Amino acid sequence: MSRILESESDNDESGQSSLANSGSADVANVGRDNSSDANSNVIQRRLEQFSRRLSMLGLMSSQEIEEKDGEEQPDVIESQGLAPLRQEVPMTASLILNKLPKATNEALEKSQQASSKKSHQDKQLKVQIKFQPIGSIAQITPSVCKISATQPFALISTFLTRSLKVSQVYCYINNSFAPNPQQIVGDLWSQFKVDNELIVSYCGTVAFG
Amino acid sequence: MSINDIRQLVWQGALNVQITVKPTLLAVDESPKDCAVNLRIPRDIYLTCYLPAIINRVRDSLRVDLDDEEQHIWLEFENVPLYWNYPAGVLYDSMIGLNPSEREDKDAENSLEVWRLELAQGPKLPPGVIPLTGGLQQIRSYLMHQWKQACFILNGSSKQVMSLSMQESSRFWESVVTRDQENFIYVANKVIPFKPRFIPVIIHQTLPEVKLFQPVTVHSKDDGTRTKLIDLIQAQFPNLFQKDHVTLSKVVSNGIELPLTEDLYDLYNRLFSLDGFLHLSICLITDSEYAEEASK
Repeated sequence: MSRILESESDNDESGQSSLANSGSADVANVGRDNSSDANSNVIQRRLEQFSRRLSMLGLMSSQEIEEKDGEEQPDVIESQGLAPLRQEVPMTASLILNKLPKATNEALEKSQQASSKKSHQDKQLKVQIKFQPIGSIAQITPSVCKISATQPFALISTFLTRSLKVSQVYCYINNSFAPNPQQIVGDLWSQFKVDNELIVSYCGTVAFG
Repeated sequence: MSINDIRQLVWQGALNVQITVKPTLLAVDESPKDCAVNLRIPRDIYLTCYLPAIINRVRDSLRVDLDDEEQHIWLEFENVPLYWNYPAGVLYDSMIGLNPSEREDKDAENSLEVWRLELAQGPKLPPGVIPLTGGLQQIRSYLMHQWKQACFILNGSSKQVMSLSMQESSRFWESVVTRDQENFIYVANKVIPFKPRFIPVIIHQTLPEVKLFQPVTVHSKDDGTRTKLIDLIQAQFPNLFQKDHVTLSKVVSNGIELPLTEDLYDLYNRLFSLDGFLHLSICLITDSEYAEEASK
């Protein structure tokens, strides 16, 4: 997921942003690859950094690629045993739960029952993704994959980098925008599908800044 | 009140924030209160835009090196990591479960509402927090992509944002950082159509668990009438917003309670955030307020 956002970091290195230069040098410099030597240590370091960031999202070990017809080619992007990203409720807000009227508690209970049913259905529901390479990056075969509707978009980026064996890939929906990596794939599919496929184009460099 | 007046109030909305440092990061002789940073920040900006300034203020009181590339920095509220990629006001409303009417009860002449956050650092970011490796430039890129997404939802393509000149893009970002509403609205108006295809909405639910929804929200229903807030919210939370019942929840945006019968696109036009989305927070009302409402 970070590569979507790292793209601008790369741009920044070219000195295009006066704001970044004048504003937040401390943060802006963190994680940059300042080395001008294109040696293997740099690549190794970037791979390690990338891998570390993915693991921070809790997505690293979740991916399983199903084989199709005995070929080692991706068809279904799955996540096994991975709970969806969940943020805790802060204490102040959670205290409100003790002060709710009976009617709200009943409504919440009903909602939770419906939500767990829906979430079970959504886990089963897989949406179709169509991958389109941009520029010289390799094509994923097959170019159409399926993914559980409840997964965050970050999983798609992880899948691409692993499948293509590259350290970075920049993903875009409908050749237009890089979505928030936390956004649920099912929501993206519902909003931006074309012929029931979510079109994800990908590139080794920034394609749409 | 005109649309411009409301937009101006939204743009000027601000929060009092106090940031202290996790005690584990402090030098031995420092206390968290001694190196607290007090800021008044706009609601409609990313908290991380202030991170460099915060770090500079507390740097000398720390036992750790905040420039360490192997470490990550983030902000927490009551030990819950905050996602920097949502506007500060949205985080505040949803994370504290803001009920505007209760806030009004607490307001007093000599009181000041302060949101207390903590600066944290560690080798691993908490799950879900987007790594911030490119400083303000990364935030700018994120913002522009959010606007492209919002533009796609509104217009069916991102053309209006993608065809902005370099100068206009820079002007837009600078307007956010320098709080120049005129330039912000100038560019936003190029993107926001008179009649949209869909409306970019993000719903933040905090209780009983933190959830985000980005539903497909139509501008007009099948019968040709325009979508109201109640239509969206009832479809999303049928048990909390039942027809002909005393309401169990409120919808909050930019710190204010929204009338459920309002036209949704009118609300969008007045209250959209810096990322081009209308952020709505669901607030559950307490038993005392419920009893009051029921007795009316």
